[in-house]
Amino acid sequence: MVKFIGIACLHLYLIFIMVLVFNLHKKSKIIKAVFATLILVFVALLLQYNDSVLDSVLSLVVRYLYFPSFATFMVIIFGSLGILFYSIFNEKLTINTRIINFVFASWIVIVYLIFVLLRLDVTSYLSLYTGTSLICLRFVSRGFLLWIVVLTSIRFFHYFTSLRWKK
Amino acid sequence: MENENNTKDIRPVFSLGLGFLLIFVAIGLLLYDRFMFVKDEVFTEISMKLDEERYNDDLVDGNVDDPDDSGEDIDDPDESNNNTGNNNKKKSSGTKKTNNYRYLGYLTIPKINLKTGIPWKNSPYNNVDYGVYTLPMSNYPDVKNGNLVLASHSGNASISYFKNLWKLAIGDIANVSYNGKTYSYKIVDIYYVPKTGTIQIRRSNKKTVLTLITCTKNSNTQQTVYILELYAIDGVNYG
Repeated sequence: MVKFIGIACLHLYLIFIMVLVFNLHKKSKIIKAVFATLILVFVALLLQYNDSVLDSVLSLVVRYLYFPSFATFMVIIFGSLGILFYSIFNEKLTINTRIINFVFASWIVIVYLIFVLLRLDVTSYLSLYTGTSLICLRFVSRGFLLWIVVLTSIRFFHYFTSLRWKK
Repeated sequence: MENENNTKDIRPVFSLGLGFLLIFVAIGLLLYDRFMFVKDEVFTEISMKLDEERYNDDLVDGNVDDPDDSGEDIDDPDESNNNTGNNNKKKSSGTKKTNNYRYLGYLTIPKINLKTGIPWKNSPYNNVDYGVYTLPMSNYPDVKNGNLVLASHSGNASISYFKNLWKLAIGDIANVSYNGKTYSYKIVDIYYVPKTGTIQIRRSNKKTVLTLITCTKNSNTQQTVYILELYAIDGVNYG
């Protein structure tokens, strides 16, 4: 019985979403708002479905913040270098964004150089997650997160101020 | 007049910003407890992995040392036929090294998806406020007919490792990893005692036992005691 109700609810939900999707082009604010709310409800239901879904997401966050893996570390390093080159050659970027990119990218590259000088065995938990190497890993992962937060905040600020002037 | 218009324009922008901020704060507050719980789990897992590596390194160097080992050791069932019971003595004969591990091993209960470290009796982390507490009268798992007694909080706090023990029933299994071996226990008795500060443990003296103690679910005055008996070491039947 419960299974049947679940399947019925799922079908109703899908039909409702399809109706909304087909009406999106009508530029109705109500439809867009309902659509956004439905997506949020769907995400909330997904998280409530099982404790382990939320736990695995939080576990990823904790690992990123406190014990970033070597793979994550390397992805961030290459990503930072990419952004650094992009900032150098892209003339459309504002001076503020460029300065922020230079500061964070050079911070991450310096930490990477310190990490290289340690000559660690990257397959060993003991050498990765103790002493200076752990500090380096945390500096890089948190620095990258801070970088994203700063850029997103600037973006939001510009978005909100543009809203103001449009009015 | 222009100023008034500007103030009117700014108001919705600020309320939008404030709305976003409040949503983030609310999500943060909602997830805080869960985050702290998961954080503790991840830290325990990493600590255990580090301990394991340190142990393996020490094993290679021949420096393994059990800090407060006492009593008669259990012979590994598959080794006892070959009369190699003094294997542990051989291990300890190396240069003794100060113990620097946080955990002596770890406790896993598959039914409730529990995996946590068991601190050494003399560890500064051996406290219910850090997680699982190894009671001072405990014997380590390799002591024949010994009793390893563990306690932890139930409830909803991040350190409530035994919050799901109430789901266990007689016959359920728990494993303790210690000194590179896995000791498997089966629940043989569950009973309730009033919270008076002392607990009488009812168990057979001829069995090697693991005792788990926590507060009874939905009760402020009772504690539940789970008695588990050793039935296998490294998957080989024991006793």
